[in-house]
Amino acid sequence: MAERISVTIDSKYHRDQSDDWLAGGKVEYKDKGYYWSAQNSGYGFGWEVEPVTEEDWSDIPKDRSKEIITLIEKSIYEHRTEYVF
Amino acid sequence: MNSLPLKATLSAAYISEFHKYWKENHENVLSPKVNPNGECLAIAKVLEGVYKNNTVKVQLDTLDLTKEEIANVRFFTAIQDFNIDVHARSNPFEFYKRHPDCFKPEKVKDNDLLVDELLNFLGAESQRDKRKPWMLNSSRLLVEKYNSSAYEINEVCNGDIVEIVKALTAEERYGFSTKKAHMLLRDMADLGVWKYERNIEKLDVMSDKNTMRVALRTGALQFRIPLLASFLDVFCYQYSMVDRLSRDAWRVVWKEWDKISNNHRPQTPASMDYLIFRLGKIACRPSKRFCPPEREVTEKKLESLIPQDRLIFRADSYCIFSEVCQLERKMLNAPNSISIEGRTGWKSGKTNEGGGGGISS
Repeated sequence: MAERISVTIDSKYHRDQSDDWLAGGKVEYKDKGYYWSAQNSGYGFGWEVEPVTEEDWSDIPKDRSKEIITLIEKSIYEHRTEYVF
Repeated sequence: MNSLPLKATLSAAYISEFHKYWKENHENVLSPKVNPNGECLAIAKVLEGVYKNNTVKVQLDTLDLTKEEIANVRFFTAIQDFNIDVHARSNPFEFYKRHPDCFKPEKVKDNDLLVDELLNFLGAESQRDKRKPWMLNSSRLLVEKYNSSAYEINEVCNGDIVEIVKALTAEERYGFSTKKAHMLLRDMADLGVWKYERNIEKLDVMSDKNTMRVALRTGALQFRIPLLASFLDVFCYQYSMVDRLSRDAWRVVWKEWDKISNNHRPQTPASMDYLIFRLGKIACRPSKRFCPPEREVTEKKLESLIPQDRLIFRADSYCIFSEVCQLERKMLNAPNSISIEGRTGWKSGKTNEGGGGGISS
């Protein structure tokens, strides 16, 4: 991936009521900001990252969007708040 | 000038009248219904069509391990299954073959180094202050009550799901929340390790955005209005209700399934969750779905899926629930969650008529 991508995790926390984890943040790609949110249901399926909204991400090519989502997942697992790839 | 004695007039339990109203009336406002028109049986019939010729289960490669070995490996990895992907680095069942002592309770219970070895393998670098005591305490639990074998928990508890969950969650120090215990029980059933005798219907399809979205779109769970997130729901009443009712709805599907003669219903409701979760993730996305009037899945996409995931699609390349979901429900979405704990910057309050939007991060 040649372009500079920066992932920011604004928030990540355990929600007691549902015993799950939520996270949210921003990605900067090609000088534009895109928002995402993520949920880990705590049921063995790991983090699921979703664009907010999918329409807002529609100008990113599908393959690239998948790569970015994978980068976000990786960032969440690494427990850091800001990444530049 | 005297300042208003505001603090003195408010009790510690003070809560906004808005939130009091929402707490008391959210259910009336949203008016939920589970299975109002027999949707759950319709869903069960579709699932029967899949399950009668296929085995659908959680994707864990247990190699050639015995049931006793599988139980111990999953018992210890389930405890650690938060904030890390326990299957990402390599297969824990394979790790067992090289490091069996890391899963032997009588050796682990007094040996921090074995715990560290397993945690390092899993990449569990964070929260070791919790992770290590959980490993040591749960090892002692197995040694003291279950003959050092997680496999024996089911037998000791007479195959009673409620009793097993109670045994695992009785004390926080073992590292099992109710949900984690349910996950272990689901996996033990899916992997053919445990067979349950009592309270089987209480092992839920756990809620997440996918299982909730599919429940809403199939009509197994219906509301009067689309579900928008709002600051009024800062205490998550809406989300908690949808969570509970989505689990109820899938339980009804599982019960209705038994009405089909010679059926191939899985052992527990939770055993349906892999298929439903993957269907939500692959075929029934928030704003994209593979059902009429939209396009069918492409051959290229199908080929990229593992065989079990291809079961989500019919021979005509549409989602298996295409005939169940009514057009007006096909755009419904699970509610976003607003939590008082969260400090994510809200970006938008907009959504479309499918809901699922509102204030979002």
